[in-house]
Amino acid sequence: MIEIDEIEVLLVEDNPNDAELAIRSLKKHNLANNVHWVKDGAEALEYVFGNDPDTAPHMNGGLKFILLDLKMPKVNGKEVLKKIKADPKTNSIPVVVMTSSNDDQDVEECYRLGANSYITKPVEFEKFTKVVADLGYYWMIINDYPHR
Amino acid sequence: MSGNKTKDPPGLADKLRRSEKEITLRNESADVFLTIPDDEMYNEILKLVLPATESAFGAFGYLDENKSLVVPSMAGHLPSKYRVQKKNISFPRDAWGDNSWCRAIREKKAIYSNKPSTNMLGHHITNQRHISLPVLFRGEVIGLFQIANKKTDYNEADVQRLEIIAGFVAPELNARLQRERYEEQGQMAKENIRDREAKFRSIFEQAAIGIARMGIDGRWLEVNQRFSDIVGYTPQELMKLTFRDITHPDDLKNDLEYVRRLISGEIDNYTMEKRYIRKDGSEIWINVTGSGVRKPSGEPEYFITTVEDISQKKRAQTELIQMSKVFMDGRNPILIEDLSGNILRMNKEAERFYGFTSDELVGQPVTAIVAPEHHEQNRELQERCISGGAVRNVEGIRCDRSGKEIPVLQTLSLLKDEKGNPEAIASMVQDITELKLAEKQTQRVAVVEAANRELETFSYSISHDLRAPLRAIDGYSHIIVEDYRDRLDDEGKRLLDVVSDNARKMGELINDILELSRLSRQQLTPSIIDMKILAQSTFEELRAAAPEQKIVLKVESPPPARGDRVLIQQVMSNLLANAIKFTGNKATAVIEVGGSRKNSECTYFVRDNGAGFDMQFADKLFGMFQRLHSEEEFEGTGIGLSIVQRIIHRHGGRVWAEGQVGEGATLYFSLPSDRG
Repeated sequence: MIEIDEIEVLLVEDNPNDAELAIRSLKKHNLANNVHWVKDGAEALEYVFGNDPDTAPHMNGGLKFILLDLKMPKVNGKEVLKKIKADPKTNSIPVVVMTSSNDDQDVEECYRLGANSYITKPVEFEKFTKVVADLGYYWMIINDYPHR
Repeated sequence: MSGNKTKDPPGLADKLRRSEKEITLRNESADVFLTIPDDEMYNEILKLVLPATESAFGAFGYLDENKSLVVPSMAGHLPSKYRVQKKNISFPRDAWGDNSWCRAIREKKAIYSNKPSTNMLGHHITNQRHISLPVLFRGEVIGLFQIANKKTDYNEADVQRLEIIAGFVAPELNARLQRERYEEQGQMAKENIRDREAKFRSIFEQAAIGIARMGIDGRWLEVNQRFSDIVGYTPQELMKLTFRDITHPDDLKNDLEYVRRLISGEIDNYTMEKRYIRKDGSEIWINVTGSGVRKPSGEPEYFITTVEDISQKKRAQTELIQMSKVFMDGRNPILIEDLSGNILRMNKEAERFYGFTSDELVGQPVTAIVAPEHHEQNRELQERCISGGAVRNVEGIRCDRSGKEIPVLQTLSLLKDEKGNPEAIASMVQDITELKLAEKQTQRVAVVEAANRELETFSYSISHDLRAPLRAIDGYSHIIVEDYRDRLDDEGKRLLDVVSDNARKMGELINDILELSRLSRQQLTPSIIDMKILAQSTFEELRAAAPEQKIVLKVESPPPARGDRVLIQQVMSNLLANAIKFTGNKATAVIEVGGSRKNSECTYFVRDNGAGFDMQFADKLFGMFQRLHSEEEFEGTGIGLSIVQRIIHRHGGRVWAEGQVGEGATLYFSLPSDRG
């Protein structure tokens, strides 16, 4: 059982294939052994905000970053992004939007809503892997976090 | 002889006395006729006659032109209450009865009676006896004597005596009557003339038209007030002018011609419309008639001209002509119909529009030129118009002679007579064929645009949705190779590589499609682009990706372009990338970029000395995913030029290419020129 405060990456992705590839890549590069995967926006919000404010991961500063897909059923990515970035308790968590769409409007809106980064998922496996690895490396290792 | 007194015949002394009396009477009456000028004369004659005939009362009258008896005088030695008539009493012929004097005149003989009579000329006289005797001259009765109330009975001798008197009175009376008649006529004539003079004067002075008497030399002799008012000069001023002085120069020629013909006798009178120049310098249209008055010798003495102010009429005429013109020459076809819808009149444009002459359509119902399916609507519109409703720009369809249907907008106006009753309908149409076409065009364009948008949304979401599975295909193939490396032989690995390759390629294709789609949707932001700098900087970027290749870039001085900077950069990038790609096999690649401006467009080119292409397939060059080389020769999806074409077309320009296999290719594109 992984301790809650050991979870470092929240992967919000409805496509299980994409999820598998992403997790594999992170693990392969030893960047995130503790990845929590949720399949839709509702679960994501549930996880971030949680029922018990005291035990919600964000309180413990454990969440290093969120990989967020946009096109999802129930609650879609933009809404998740909006909510996370609107709440002072959670808005310091880096959110990397990683999605199939490279639509200008989507990009613009996500940045407006406060995304830290926007990545278009490459089709090719090698590129995809590299991107995820680079992301992981950056946000986990290079980027600084406020210490709690 | 003395002594013997011869005895005179018996009565001779009487006879002599009588003769003396007669002579005296004759002389005296002659005197009266000569000296007494007026109707007093009749009384004076009576004064001689009555004593001569021992009568107490007498009347002496004459017959006038109507053969009525006029008695100027009835005298009598009567008590003063019976005054002498000073007035003339007239006895109209048709009122004559059977009294003795009437009979006397009619029968031309004396009639006498010794009995009392009541129908005397002097009704108030009671008479015991009388004689009525006509005065005859050359067999005609010209007057009448009536004497009455001798103390004793009248007898033949009295009648004779009266006859003798009447005998020598007759010529004198006749002469007097003749003279009086002449005088009267002369008087009447004079009066007539005076009358006519006065009448003429009043006509002349007070007429509502201008009348003038003009001398042969053209100078005015006499003008009436109205004439003076019309020309604005006083009569005195006019006397110093001639008609030439006040005639409008443009009308003078005609006027003089008429006058000439009038003088020469070719014409008796003339009438013309002309202009006078009034004293204040303004023009006034008049209708003038001129006629000549000649001397007995035939020579013209003077002219009489009448002048009528027709400015009102002229204005109305001009208005009418103008309105007619508006109708006749109007740009829209206009028909005038009666209330039952029959055509009364049409203008020129209507003739042209419908292809019928007026003669052919007048009298026909208007439905002759209305499309059959619109006949009912036409009738409804007419009724609406007649009842006062507005019919303006209502769509309808008319037919011309050839049966061609023409879409129109119709406007109907109700025409009323002076009393305000509906009289006719004016119907005007406007051809909206072009408008309708434009509408259709716009609709088509809208449809096409909607289709395009749909297509784009479609291709967008398809591409999107294709990417994820592709990723999986590629990803999982790799995973298999990685994780099952030791359990796969070379063939296995190769096969999985093929899977990977294809996935990758498909990914590229999807990218290209998405890119093309994006370009169509994107807004153009025009700016002025320095094409030389663009070419150079773009080249540097691309060159960085293939540093080992030896490439020489020559940029001439292309004119600045007007377009969306980002998109034009893409164009340049694609073209240069192609040039670099296709010169990959050459030892030294030479790429030239240049351009020129001509008229309303700038043409640019990118030339390379690379692989070139077969001109036979030139039209395929810009097609989507069209390639003229195999994948082995040169990689690429074949979308680069498609993108170039789409961008240039969006700018309103053209693309084309020339090439020779093995020698190189030149890609051209044009952009509408910047007008600064």
